[in-house]
Order: sequence, then structure tokens, then C-alpha cells
Amino acid sequence: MVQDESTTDELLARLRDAQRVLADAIEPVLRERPTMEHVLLSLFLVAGTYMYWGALEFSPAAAEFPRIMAGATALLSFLILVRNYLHAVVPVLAAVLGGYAVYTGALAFLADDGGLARILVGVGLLVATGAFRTQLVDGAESFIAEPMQVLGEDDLIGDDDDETAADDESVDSDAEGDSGAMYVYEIDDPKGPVVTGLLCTGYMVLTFAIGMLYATPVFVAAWALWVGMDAAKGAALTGLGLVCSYLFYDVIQSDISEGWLTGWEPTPPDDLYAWYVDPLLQPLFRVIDRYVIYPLLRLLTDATPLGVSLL
Amino acid sequence: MTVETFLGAIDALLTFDTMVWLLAGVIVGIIVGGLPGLGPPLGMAIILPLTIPLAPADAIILLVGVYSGSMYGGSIAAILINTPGVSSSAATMFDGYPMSKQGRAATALSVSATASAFAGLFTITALILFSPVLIELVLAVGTPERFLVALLGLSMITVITRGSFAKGLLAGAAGLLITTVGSAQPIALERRYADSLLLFDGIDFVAVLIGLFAIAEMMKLAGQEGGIAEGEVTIDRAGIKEGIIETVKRPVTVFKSGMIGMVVGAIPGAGATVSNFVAYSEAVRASDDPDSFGSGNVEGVVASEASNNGTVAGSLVPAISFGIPGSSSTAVLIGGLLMHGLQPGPSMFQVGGELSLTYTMLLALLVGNVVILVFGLTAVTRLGYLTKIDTDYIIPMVIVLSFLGTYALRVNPMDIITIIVFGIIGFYMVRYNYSVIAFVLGVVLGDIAEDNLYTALQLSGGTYDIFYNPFAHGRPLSFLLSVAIFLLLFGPFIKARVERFRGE
Repeated sequence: MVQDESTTDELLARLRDAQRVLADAIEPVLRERPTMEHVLLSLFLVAGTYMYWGALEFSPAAAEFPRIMAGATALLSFLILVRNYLHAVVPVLAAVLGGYAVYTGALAFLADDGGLARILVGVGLLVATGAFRTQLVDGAESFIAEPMQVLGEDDLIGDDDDETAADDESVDSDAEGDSGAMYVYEIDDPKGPVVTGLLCTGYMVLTFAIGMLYATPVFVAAWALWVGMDAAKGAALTGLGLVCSYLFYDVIQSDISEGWLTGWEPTPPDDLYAWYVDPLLQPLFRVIDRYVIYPLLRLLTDATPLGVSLL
Repeated sequence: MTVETFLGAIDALLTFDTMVWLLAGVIVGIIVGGLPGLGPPLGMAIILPLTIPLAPADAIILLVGVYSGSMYGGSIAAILINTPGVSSSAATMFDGYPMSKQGRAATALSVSATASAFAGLFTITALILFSPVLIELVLAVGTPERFLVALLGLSMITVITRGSFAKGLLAGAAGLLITTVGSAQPIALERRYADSLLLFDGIDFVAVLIGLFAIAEMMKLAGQEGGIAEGEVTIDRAGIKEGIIETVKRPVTVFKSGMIGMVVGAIPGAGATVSNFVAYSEAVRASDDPDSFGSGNVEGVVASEASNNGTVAGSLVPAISFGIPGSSSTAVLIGGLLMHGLQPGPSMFQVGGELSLTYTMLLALLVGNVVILVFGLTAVTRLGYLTKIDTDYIIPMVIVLSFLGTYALRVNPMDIITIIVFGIIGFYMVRYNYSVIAFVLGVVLGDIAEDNLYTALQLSGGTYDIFYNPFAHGRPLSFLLSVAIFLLLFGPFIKARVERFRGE
């Protein structure tokens, strides 16, 4: 892929500098170089926690499933996030969860003889915390962390060196080669995904402003500019984008032409054609009708092979 | 009654419209599979919103056509430019590309089409013949068990995914969590986080699928170089006949690899990539001349291509029986079923339910394999063009179709935000080894799982012992499934502990 390097390179270099400063500050806390994985995990943690508390306001039947899933999401993302502190976190967490399970189980048991399983699980966790602490931590470590990620020695995207990033991808790809549950790929140009993401975001914003009918060719033109496509091919691709969006507008859903944020609906191409292009072409069409179409029709009407009129 | 339904399905398939959709699906699938970087889930995800105006049967047939066609299409780029169009054709490169370099590209492509079609034909036939037993099995499973089967599927994916168990489980749980936004569809319970009107209808799973498969894939593709044929590859028509003969001479390899594909494909999360390598390894092991593999042995191409098309039949078993996708492609297929108001599970096997559609779908796959054979063989000399299309043209058009298809469905701005957010999340999930299929499984399975959990808890009076106590509710199968899930998740750790303890 060929792009205009200068502006984006400069922008990315600045971003990398800012990222490096941030990574240096966070690294001692995490005990590993911060990466986008930490951002992803933080997102899951925040979403899980928020949705757990949010579910408390739902009716009991509606809250059951979201609370289980939100709890699991928050707990697992937290454990992966603090994978370098498992020796300290896991016993505390097990004790807290064990105590909570025993408490709620006991309440349920007193109320309606239920909750026995919860009490047993809680007692099990408390016993494990007290008597089998080392085994508990070892088990948690092998359950949660991948060896290469513990202490983060091989996961240095935070260094923000393009080459390192690409190399890391290659290592990951090789390691994952035979699992169908994963994708396998290499990143040769780290700018590509970033710019694609930004262009998609721009496409979304433009869609909300002017509707998707015209946002689509603008997005395609922006893409063609970014990859340095030559003018003719870029124009053809942009035209194809407009054809696609017009077909969706005309055949499937005309509401896509309205900007959601602005409520503005730019004039669609068929109206533009009728107002501005068609009047200009009418004289030409009349000439064609008069000197080409009508004589041709007259010829066909007059022709009567085997005594049968064609028209 | 089942025979009548089967005959009715044949009748439904043999209509002009249905056959056109099937043909279109297979051809689109071959093209999508042949374009480097694209694959069945992406092709199906883009097609998904476009199926809205179609009748459910035609929509599903179009999707399975794309699925089946792209499985074969993936071999084109693998053979011609040493880049698998889809990961399930990776093993085809080992011998397909050397054959191409030896001037036998047509033979390799012909072997690929023939082996794919033959394996597809007999595995789908086997599935149709096996269907009465499958029907009995599915209908015998009750509500609590279906919830546990969903959890079992999720657990299997986390086990099959190499690396951290916790990451696999987190991906699955996060996927399930997504489905809790908005009202709980099956049981009509309202849920609104932060009183958001945008989220009132929930997060559309079609937008999530498109984000994960189309946008994330295009972001990935934008960071990759190569994948485009640089030189001219000679595809000589004379090699076509040789390819057919070479395949026909190896019925055992076709049969064995197809069966490997079918069995492995039925395991959630394993998919065609795993079956591809397993079948290839088995062909090497069973060969009298294992050293010749990797340098243009036809047997390698036969094994690889027979297995990945065999996977299609296998992956449909858990998908239509319990709504558990065997692969990313079947996850999108389940999305298609749900979008058209069809619920995977027992209703797909009931005579009064959707059994006719299930049979029509299987028969469509059968016919689809014939289309693959005919189209694959007749278009062999033209297939090289696909590998010459630059990704600079593919990426914007895929993104445009994804945006248009998603937005046109409901004209809900939230859907556009969803595809971008999940495109970025999907990109980084893959980057850091979080199972996307587990996440997708969660998204697709959420409503089904919650519905079954809700009903099971109502049956048990609100206690969870219905899932693990074989005596309380007379459900030994639930107990066995719970034990299986526990062993799947914790078995390896317990085993390691026991072994270490014995060693000490």
C-alpha cells in the first residue's frame, strides 16, 4: 500500500512520543509495558462493573443474567489486568468471594433451606485461601496468564517502535498457527489500521451530518487520496461508491440520505439530475429524437416484409 | 412424516428463485474466498443485511451458498500466490503452490474443486442420513440442558483456543454481556442502562458481527502488504482433466479427509483451520512417500481441500441443533437464522417447525457442491484474475457495503457506532489473542442462553441445583453436562496438580 508518508508519519511520531511518556509512567505500576491490551481490558472492566451495578435497578428476573455475565466480565478482566500481582490479589479475592458466598448462602439457607451449594463453595474458597495459598496462586497464574505475558518481557508495543510491533505480530502469528478459534496475521504497516479506523470514524461523523448517500463517495475519495491512487482510478472508485450508496438509497432504504445529527437531507442525485443536467441535455435529446429515433421508427413502420407491419 | 417433509424440501429447493440464490451464493462465495484477506465469515457478514427482503429459506440458502463456495474459493489464492484466501486453506499452500510453480496450476485448482465437491457431497449426504438420529437427540434435550450445552460450547472454545483460559472465558462472557443491553427478547423483560434511548433496542448482533468480521478484517488488511499476484501464472486447460483423474484415484484420502473435516468441524471453535492441518498431517502419516509432501504432492491438496469442505457439514450440527457455532461462519449463519425469525434448536427439527427448511438447507449445500464442481472446473483458467485485485480497491468497497448494509437495516445511528466500536475491539482482540469466536458465540448465543436459563430457573423454583443435582429434579443429563464443563475448564489444572503431587 502506497500512501502520502510525510503528514501521517509526523502525526504518528508525535503520538508515539506522547504514548512513550505515558507508557513510562504506567509501566512501574503494571510491572509490564502498557499496551492496547490494557486499554481493552480496562474497557471490559469498566463496562462489566457499570453493567453489574446498572443491573441492580432491573427487576430480579431481568437482572439475573446480566449480573452473572457482568460479574464474570469484570472479574476476569480485573484478574488479567493484575496478572503480575496475582500472588497478592488472588488470596484476598478468594477470601472475599468465599466470605460473600458463605454469607449469602447462609441467608438463603435460613430463609428457605436453599443456598447450601453456595455455602460449600464459599467454605471451599476460604479453606483454599488459608491452607493451600501457594497452590491457589499457582493455579490462578496458569489459568490466567500466558507465560510470555507475565512480567511483559516480550510484549513491548509500548515502545512504539513500528518494527518491534510488526515483529511481535509475527511471533504471535507463528504461535497461533494451528488454532481455528483465532485469526492469524501479520502487520507490515502499523499506520494502515490506524488510518483505516480514523477514516471509518470520519465516515460515521459525516454520515451523521449529511447522510450516508453522500458520505459514502467522500469516504471512498478520502481513502483513494490516502493510498495515493491515481486520479482516474480514484474517480472511478468514488463513482462506484456513489452508485452503491444510491442503489441502497433507491432500492432498500431512502432514509439513509438524512443526517441524524443535523436532520439535513441533501438533494439526491436523481433530483439534481432532473433540475440541472436534464434541462441542459434536452436540446441534445430533441435533436437525437428528430434525426435518429423518429426516422428509424418511420423506417420500421413503413417496412412491411411478407406484408406484415413491424410496428 | 419426515419423508414427506424431506420431499417437500426437495420441492422447495427446485424452484427457479431458490436455485438462482444458491447459484449466486456459491459464485459470490468463490469470489470472496478467492480474494486474499477475505473469507467466509466476512462475505457472509456483508451479505447478511442484504438478505432482509428475501424469504427466510432463500436468505439461508444464499448464506450457505456463500459459506460453501468460499471454502473452495480460499484455495485459489493459496495455490496461485501462496496466500490462503481463507485460513482453512493454509495447508493447501504446502503442495498447491509448488504445483503452481511447476506449471501445474490448473491441475491443482482442478484437484481442489473436485476434492472440495466430492467431500462436500458425501459429508452432507452423511448428515442427511444421520439426521433422524440427530433429530431424536436434539428433541430429547430439555431447557436446563440446552443452557448447559451452550456453556459447554463456550468452554470447548476456550479449551481449543491456545493460550490463556481466562482470556477465552472473558471473550465469551463479554459477548454474552453485550446481549443484555436492551430488552431481553425471549422473555420480554425491559432493561435500560443509563436510560439511554439509543440503547433502548439493544446492540444489534448483525452490526456486532459486521464490525468484528468486516471492519476489523479491513483494518488488519490495511496493515498488510502483498497478497497480490505479481507475475503471470500459466493456467493450462489441459491440466483440468488430469486434476479430476488424480482426485478420483484417491477415494480413501477424499473420504478420510472429508470425515476428519466433518468430525472436527462439529467441535465448537475447532473449525476448518484445525481440520485442514489434521487431515493434511494424516495424509502425510499414511503416505508411502511422506518426503514428497511440501514439494507438490497432489495428495496434500486433496487432503486439505476435502477436509475444509467436509467441515461445513460438521459445523452445521451444533449450529442448527443447539445454536452453537462450530466456526465463525456458522456464527454468522446463526445470525442469519435469528434475523429471519428462526430459532436454532429443537424447532429446526420438528415437522411442524422448521424441519423442512433444515432439509432444504442441507439439500442446497448438496447442490452447491455440484455448482462448485461445475463452476470450479469451467472457470479454472479465469480464476487467476481474482488474485490480481489490489486490496486498495477491496478495502473501501467492503467498508462501504458494511456501513450501508448495517445502516439500511434499521436506520439506527447506534448500529454505525456499533460496527466501528466492535471493529476496533475485534482488531485488538485478535491482536492480543482473545478468541473472537468465543466473543461471537456469546453475542449469538446470549438470547438463547438467557431464555433457557430463565425457563430452567422457573422450573426449579429459582435455585441453580437443577443444573448440578441429579436427584432434586430428576435430570441426570444436566449433572453430566455440568461435570463435563467443570472437567473441561479445570481438568488440565487438576491433572497438573496431581502429577506434580505424585512427582514430589
